[in-house]
Amino acid sequence: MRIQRNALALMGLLAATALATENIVVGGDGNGATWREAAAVAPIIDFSTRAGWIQPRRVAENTNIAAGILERGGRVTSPNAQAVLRLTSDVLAERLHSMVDGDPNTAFEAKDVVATGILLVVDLGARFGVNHIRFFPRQAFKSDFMKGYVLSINDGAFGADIVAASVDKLPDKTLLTVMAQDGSNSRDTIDVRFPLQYVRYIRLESTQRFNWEIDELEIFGSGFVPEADYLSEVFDMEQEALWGRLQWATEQVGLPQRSRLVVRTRSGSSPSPDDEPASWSPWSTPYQHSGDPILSPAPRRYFQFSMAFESDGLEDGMAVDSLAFEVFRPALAQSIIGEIWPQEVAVGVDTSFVYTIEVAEARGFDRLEIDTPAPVRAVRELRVDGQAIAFSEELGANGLRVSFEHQTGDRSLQVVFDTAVLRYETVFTGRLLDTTREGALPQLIESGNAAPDFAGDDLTVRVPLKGQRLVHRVSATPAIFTPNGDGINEYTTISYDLLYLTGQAPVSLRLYDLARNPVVAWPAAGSASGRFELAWDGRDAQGALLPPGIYILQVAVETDSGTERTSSAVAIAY
Amino acid sequence: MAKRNLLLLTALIAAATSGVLGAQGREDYGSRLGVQRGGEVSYEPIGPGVLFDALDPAVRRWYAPQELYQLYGWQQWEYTNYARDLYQRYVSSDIEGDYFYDLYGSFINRGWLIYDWSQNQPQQFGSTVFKTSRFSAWFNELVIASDQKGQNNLALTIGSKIRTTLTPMTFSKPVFDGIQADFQSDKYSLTVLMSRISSPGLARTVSVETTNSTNLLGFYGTTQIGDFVEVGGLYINAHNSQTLLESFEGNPWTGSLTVGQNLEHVGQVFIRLSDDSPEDREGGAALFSWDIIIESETEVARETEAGERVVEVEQETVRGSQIGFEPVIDGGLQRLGFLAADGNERIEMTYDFRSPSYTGPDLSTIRRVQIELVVANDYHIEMSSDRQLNIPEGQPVFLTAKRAAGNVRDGSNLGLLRLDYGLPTGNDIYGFTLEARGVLGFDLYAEFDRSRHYRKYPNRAFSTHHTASDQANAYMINLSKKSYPYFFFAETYSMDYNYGTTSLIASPSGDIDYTDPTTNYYEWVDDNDDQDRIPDWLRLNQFGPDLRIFPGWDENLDFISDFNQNDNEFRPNFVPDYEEPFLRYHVDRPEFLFGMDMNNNFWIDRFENDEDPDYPYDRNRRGYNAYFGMHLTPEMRLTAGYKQERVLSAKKREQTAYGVITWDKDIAGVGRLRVFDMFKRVEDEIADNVVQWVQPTGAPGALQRIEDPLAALNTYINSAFVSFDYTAIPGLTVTNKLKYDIWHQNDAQPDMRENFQFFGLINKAEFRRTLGRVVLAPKIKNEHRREAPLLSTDPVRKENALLLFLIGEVAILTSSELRAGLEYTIFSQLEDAEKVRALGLSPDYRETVFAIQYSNTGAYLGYSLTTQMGLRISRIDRQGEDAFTGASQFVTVYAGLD
Repeated sequence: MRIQRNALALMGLLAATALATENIVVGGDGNGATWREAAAVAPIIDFSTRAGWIQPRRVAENTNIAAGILERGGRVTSPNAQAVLRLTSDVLAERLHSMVDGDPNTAFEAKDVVATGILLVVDLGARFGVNHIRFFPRQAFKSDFMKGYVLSINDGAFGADIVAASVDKLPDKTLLTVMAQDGSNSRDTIDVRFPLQYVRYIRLESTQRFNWEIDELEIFGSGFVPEADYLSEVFDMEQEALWGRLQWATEQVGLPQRSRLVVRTRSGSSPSPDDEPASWSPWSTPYQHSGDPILSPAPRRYFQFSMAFESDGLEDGMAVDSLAFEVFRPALAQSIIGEIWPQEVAVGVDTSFVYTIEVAEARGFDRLEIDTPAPVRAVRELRVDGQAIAFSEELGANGLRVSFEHQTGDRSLQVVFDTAVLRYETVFTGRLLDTTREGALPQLIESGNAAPDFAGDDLTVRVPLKGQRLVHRVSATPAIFTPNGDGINEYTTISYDLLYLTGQAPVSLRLYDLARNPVVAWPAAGSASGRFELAWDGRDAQGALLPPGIYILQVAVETDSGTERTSSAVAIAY
Repeated sequence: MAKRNLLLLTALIAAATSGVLGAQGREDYGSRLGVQRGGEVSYEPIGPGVLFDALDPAVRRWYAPQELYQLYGWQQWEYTNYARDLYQRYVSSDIEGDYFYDLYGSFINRGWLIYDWSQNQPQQFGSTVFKTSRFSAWFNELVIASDQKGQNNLALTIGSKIRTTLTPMTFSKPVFDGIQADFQSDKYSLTVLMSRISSPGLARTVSVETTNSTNLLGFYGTTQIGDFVEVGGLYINAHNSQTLLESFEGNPWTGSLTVGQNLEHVGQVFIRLSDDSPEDREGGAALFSWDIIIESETEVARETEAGERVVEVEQETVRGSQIGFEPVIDGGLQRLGFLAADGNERIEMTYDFRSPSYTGPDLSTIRRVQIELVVANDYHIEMSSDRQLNIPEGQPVFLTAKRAAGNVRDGSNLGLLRLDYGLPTGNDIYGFTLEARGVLGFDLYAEFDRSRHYRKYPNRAFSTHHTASDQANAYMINLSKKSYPYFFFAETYSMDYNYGTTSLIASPSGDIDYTDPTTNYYEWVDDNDDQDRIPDWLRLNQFGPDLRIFPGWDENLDFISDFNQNDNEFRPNFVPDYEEPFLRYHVDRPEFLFGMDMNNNFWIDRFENDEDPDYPYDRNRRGYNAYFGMHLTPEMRLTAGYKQERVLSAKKREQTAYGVITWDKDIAGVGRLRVFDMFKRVEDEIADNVVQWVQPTGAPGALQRIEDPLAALNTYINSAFVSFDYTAIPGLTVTNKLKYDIWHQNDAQPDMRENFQFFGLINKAEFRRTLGRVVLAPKIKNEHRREAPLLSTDPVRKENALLLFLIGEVAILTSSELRAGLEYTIFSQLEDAEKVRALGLSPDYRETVFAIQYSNTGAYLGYSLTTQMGLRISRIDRQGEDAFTGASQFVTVYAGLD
């Protein structure tokens, strides 16, 4: 067995966090709540194999999986025994359950009936690795064993919906695979062994008319269950709080690519997401890495996380030592809402945007950060409560940062900046910070009606959808340049916009002469939407200066829908 | 006023006539029936006339002489005394049927109504199908009217189980219940199909009348162009019909909303977005923005300047975004700028028209609702409403509205979709065929079809409704040429994911359970993989489902699997023949079959059973296949080809390059040699799941769904088979079979072996010798098997089974026979016993079976009676277990017809 340890000194990370930020830890060495204490729902999570850790239940070779069927939400049923044995549903259920109750005095009996084909169906409640099934009558009725049988299984994946729906029906087409059969069985204990594989449904059919009974149906196997969920309790922060990073420490067993941990969070303003779902956010997108910022909205008072363990192999799984999330309270302000205007612009064209923010009951802030899809050309103005104020700016490729005098109380901010929009629904996320408070977390700006004069009330900007092209504005600036070593116009800047893409697509940039011969090919790279620029000195791949002339610059993006090419001309003169 | 709708056919067929409607063959009943006019008996409806003989001015009541006078000579004032002339009972005047008249009042015949289908509108229960009991009792539910003159032939077939095919991509049913009208001449052919498919009617004494129904009409015509080319065109339509509507209200071809569909206003519209390829867990539906467009229509009365009151229709279109009508959205992963439904995540949107926040047009005025979505990536969009429910639970049923092409994950297919909401009302297909034979030596068949599904937005305030439709295309082209020693074949095909030949049919109440195919689906192309008379699936008004489907395994056409030939309803046998003593000499295991597996799913294509309509090519696929070959000798063929296929709604592909060599040599006086080898280089990501017949030992056979293991993602496959039958020595038959399959994985696949290998060798010999009255037949069979299964968790099998048989027959008297047989089996695992036990494999064993049987065959009461009695004793001794002895005795009598 190969073990990969994702080393994380969680407490070390926590210590590095500033004093103003609290860390709430679940699991680990006991500094926070234990996994069991913090669990709301965790039916097939193993809390006990390793102290302080959780992992999907792993079946030990001598553990009877059938023993916990009913507790796990599984079922033991029969689509036809009630009619054949003429029992009430309650009595039938009681007798069926006696096969998995561990009691040697109770049994499911099919006696004094002349029918064959009684079907018993077992739903294990989850998928388990199984390689051994056995069943037998009570000691006092050893001769009443099943004289003929067919044992079939289904892995709970192939046609699982159909199998689940047909548990109570006589199937016309079965999704179960026959694992063992004997029309003339002579052994009282029927012992069926097969290669270890996932099993969720087991069907046992009696094929002889003799009396028979089953005292216990025992199921053995090994390996991790392929799916297990852990849902935390709701954490009450006692006041509105901001969220920082989410961190967890894991250990992988077996092949790392065959097991996954999917962590999600949500936040709310009421104690119960079930009773008042509207006051809770949806579950976040799964976090890619430990240490990512928490995506759920803030400030909120309540917080919850879920973890889904997924495994593609019986010997492949993941264990979690601890999970921690950063909390900062109280928040910078009671609420921060913002909106942007205009909300529909031409794609790829630099436009002046007005970003309005309404801050209520601010405890203090002095910095605004806004994420943008393209470089910000300029910040034209910053107004606080309608008055222009002094500010310092930092313009980046994907955002701006504006610092200004410390503000408190109710405030209205308006910043005007120039940038371009490259995607259909571009969200200009923003946040306010208080750099005077050590360790303070930024507070996200939420969409809302911050500027009554503007319609829209959110932070999203759209672009027209008609006739959209993915590659836009391919150009060389200057279009004619002179790489002759005189220090003037030695370079040209090649730029292009990639539009609308939400995921990465390979982009290649090539230069051709007028005879369509390739002259320069820049390495292809995967890119999402964005504005791209690179400087070119007029040299080919071998480093030689190209002869003067007109060249064709071509950008090709290979998307899942096809390849799109856009060209432009660039001229070299000496 | 009820008016007779001539759209549907009224068929009156008189049993006593030749079947052609009209006055032809009219029988003369003399003066006893009918009205004598000018020397002829007339039955035309002309109404009563004026009798001049009755113009006497007398008070006494006088009756015009009718039946008793005409038939029995009795006069009104006569005293009845039967002393001399004995009384004779009345002869029933209607003993020979009823009088029937056509639309013009022309007398058709005197006879019996056999079949009547009519639709009258507007009225309740206006659709009637009446198959009288005579339709079944006299005609076995099949009547044919036919005509012929010169080269022109005509037939009108009315039946409950007509084998009907127009083209395999559009209409093909083993049992069509309806009317098929055919015309054929040397150059032209035309077929018209008609059926009330929602309730084609059972033969009974009362008619089946309904207000809501679904009718089918189909046309297919061909014409010969020149000597070699034939072109055809087809149109098939099935539409819901509601007889409360006036005739020709709206477009009848797009169907009408049934009473049940149009009973209530739509209160909620649901939209669900999900990942069309959930298995990759990424790049599912990306929802950027949404809106709803509501079109309404209101009648407004106003007064003109002249004081006249006029009613005008005002139309209004509002957007949800204009009136603050937003959906409740549940689910989805929030990404920057859009909601994502990756993997098993779903985005569910609900537009609630009954919400207090809804301020749009009144529900009774809404004509059209469109959902506008800006989406990208690999989306699957379904729609439903609170009028689109399943019957038992009343839960919304989602029907697919749109799926993305391919498996886009980078947002490059971002686009605006406008989806009309409506309830299904009908569907149709139009298409064209082209067939050419021997043009430049080529044979060609090409077909293009376009299917359309119609839906209408329900509103009980309107009798006509807005119609929307989706369309999908399918085509196939086959081209072949044989020019000895060369041959060539090419095929290309495509069928959109939403190409459909399924109609949603209306129940008599007008309700439709959109989830239940067994009661609400009608298939134009049935699933009938075993090509018998019973469709494989269960649908309303047809037999089925077929629970015994084993295509290719019933070569003797007795509806019994050839792998368990001695199984039948009254004497079930749950042991496959290749496991059963004595029978297992001749029957080899299915693993030793070989053939083409063009979809690389481990199953030979001709044995495959699926759960889809029997289209020539799979739905949601596009591809081509071409091969070229030559005869190296008359018995040896070499073929090389290439196939490429892709799934249209997902990014899954298959490409296969292959070569096949076959050699079938009959060596005179020696025997027959057969060699087959197929080599393939495969990259196949497309799953082709099947439902196969499995015959467990000791239990009835059953159909089992089997998942394609996708074992040829990047794989070399070779399948070889050699057999040699030696028949040179009279009385001795030696059969040898060798099969070797290997699937080599070029890339490591989780859970799979690098090489799946199956090596099987069967050698068997049978000698039959007659010694006086005794016939002795010693046999020997050896089955050797080595298999490294595909899944690495399945154990490697190395097994050998040697079977020795000795069977003796002796004739007793003239029609009796005594047969005794001994079978001895040595089964050996070629592995260590402990390893065998640990792997759960069957241990070594020795089995001895002795059977003795007395048979007598003779004629008895017209039957060929075979009586058998005997016993069979078997003893099996498994390694590590106690030996087990079993016995069975029997006395059995069979009555045969030959």
